[in-house]
Amino acid sequence: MNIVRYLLVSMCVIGVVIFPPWVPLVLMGVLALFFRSWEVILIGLFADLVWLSGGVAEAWPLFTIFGLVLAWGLEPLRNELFSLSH
Amino acid sequence: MLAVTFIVLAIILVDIWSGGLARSYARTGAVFVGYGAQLTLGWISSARFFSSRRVLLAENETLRAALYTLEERSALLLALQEENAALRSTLSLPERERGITAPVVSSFRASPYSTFLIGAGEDTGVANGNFVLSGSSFVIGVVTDSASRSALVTAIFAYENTVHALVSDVSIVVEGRGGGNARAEAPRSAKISPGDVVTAPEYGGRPIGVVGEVVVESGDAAQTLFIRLPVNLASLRFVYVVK
Repeated sequence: MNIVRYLLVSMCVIGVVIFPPWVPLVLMGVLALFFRSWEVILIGLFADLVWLSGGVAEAWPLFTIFGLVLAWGLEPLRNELFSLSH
Repeated sequence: MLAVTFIVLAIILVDIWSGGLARSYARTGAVFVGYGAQLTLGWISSARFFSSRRVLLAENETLRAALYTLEERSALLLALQEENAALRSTLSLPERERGITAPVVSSFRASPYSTFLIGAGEDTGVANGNFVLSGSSFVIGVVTDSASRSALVTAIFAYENTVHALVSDVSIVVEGRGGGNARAEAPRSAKISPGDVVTAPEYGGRPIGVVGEVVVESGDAAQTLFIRLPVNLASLRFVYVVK
């Protein structure tokens, strides 16, 4: 499972740079749903640091917020999935 | 996860405090990731088992690029005619501003904020506020965040970005919609037709787009203009930065 997780993280990072925004967003969603993935927060921050003009002080860092929401907001659903799978 | 959240907040604070240190590192990393990914994708696309699909895609891309080039040249001709008329009326010749050619080092479609990276920065004199032109002098963006060797350019038609412009001698406010598209409203009585060139005084009177469609609703005092850049942003490899 770790290989899948690393693969998804790599695809997310590459996706942030070369693919349309919805690709890393979907991958971040998958990552956060199936793993207790802290990486989604960092990937969101990476996207905002790269693409947001003037940095996060100038506008809403949407990707970072999305990463935080995914990481923390999906915790109950993820716990439920883990309890079902075990 | 809590620790990572605090680390992220710390990075944000450091970035704000340092004036963009984290951004600079992130963009340098993004450039390397982009180059690596492009090399890998190029290698995959050159493999034999994708050859027929690749040939079709290449042909499609070539035809699309040719179409955009023709549209751009046509629009440029109109822009030059208008410029020529303006020059004749004022009997003055503007000096061509100095600038540099810079490579585009990121994908146009990747940014959620209508921005892209160019491979020139403060080391070569690029500064915030510089205009970025396509090969045919259409303004496609403005440098909004420059680092030492790269700069972030915000597209002129970024979502909700407004530009005061002129079309057929009518003053309009163009509102960006992202993806090289924008819209504006003009008085119903104004004679504006598809193909008219939109210029922006704040960018030295340079063209920023062409009118793609004019919609006039019955009973409406204004007509809606749908404006687009006659430039295939995805195929741009180099841009010209006016210092």
